[in-house]
Amino acid sequence: MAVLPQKVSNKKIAWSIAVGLLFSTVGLSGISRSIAPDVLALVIFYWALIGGDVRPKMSIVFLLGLIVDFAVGGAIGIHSLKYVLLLAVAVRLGNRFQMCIRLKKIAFIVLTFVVLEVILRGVVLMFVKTPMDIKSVFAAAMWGLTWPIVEAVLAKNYSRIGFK
Amino acid sequence: MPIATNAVKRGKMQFYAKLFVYLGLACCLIFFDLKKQSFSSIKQEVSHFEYFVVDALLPSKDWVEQFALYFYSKGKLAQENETLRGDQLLKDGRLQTLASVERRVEELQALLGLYQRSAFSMHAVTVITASDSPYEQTLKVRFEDGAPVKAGDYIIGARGLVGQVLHAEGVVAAVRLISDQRASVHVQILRTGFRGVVFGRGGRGSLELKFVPEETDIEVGDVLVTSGLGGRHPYGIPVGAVVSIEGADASIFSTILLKPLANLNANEDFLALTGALGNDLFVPDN
Repeated sequence: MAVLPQKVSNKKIAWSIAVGLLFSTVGLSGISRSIAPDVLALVIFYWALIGGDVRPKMSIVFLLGLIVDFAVGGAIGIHSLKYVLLLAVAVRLGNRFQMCIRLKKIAFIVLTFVVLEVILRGVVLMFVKTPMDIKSVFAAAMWGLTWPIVEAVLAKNYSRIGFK
Repeated sequence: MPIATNAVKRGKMQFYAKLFVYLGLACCLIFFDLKKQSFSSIKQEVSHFEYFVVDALLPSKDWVEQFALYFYSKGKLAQENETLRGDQLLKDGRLQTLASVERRVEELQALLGLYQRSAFSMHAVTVITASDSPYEQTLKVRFEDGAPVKAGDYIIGARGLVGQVLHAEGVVAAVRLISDQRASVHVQILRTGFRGVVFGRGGRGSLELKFVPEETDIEVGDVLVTSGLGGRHPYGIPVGAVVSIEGADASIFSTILLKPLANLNANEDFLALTGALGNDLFVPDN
């Protein structure tokens, strides 16, 4: 069943985004940046999928992407593009996503991150000739597997009946 | 067409319009950054700002690191403490085993000394079981196959008399301790030569010298040894030491309590006196 988004306060979403922003900009100690998770992307995507009316706004997501870009020092706009696309996918397919079984949900998330990573690499390749980093694509897919954990936490705290 | 459908359509249009605007903006930013290097100066400023922030936060970073180190060390210390405590317990157990082995070795050495300096026939016996009833102070001992252990033989430890064999069968003998209520030993006070009979009192740490007139010269600390009367048992095996003397009101005899000199509780190996008799078995202390 669906999460009860009404129970999720804006404050909690804001806090989780702030934490995600911190991790995405500062990085996780002990994990190389190429395979480190983009925590903010995960947070935005998960909230966009299940947040309903309280999901992050596109303008905010775009700004967050810019902040990450400037903080990390990569191509300006790349994270904005990533977050906006994630939000768009989540908004368009969120309802269908909530009707799926868990395995399909995981597959959907992993696939989304892989496709998105490939698209972003392609966009960068259009302007600069850099080799495609398969490791980072693979890592992005792997971090998509965190969904069951998030689902368990949400099921415990925000669902009346539990997840499908 | 229904108004709701129009609203939904308008909402969708707005969403896609916004999406394309933001996507276009993002692509423009990427293009200007990667192709034209338009944001190099801003990036540089940001990196300077980052350095500045890092520099400003360095002291607090050190403090946080020290704080973390403190907790890490504390956790590590607690863990080490736990490990050491476990080791200590293990070593305590080993030490106790070692102490008991040492004690046994001492006992065995003393018994060996006794055996070597004696010309008499004696055989080692090992305790198998011990009765803990106050009414029956007995031991079961095992001896070497063929050893002539028989009923009536004295069982001695390194420090003195332990008991007497009640009956022997095969390689096992039942021994009545001198502390048994039914045990009695004819003794002599080493200092004065006064003879009497010591009876067990039921507890392993207590004997009583009975029927001693009040005027008899006897003091606390006097050592009593087997008298050797009757020729069946040797003279001079220490039995006990006087620990208290009390005069009874309605009796002409004193109540004299003794402590057995042999350790009746702890020892595991004793000697059974099975052969000829003599009086040089124990050398009494000064």
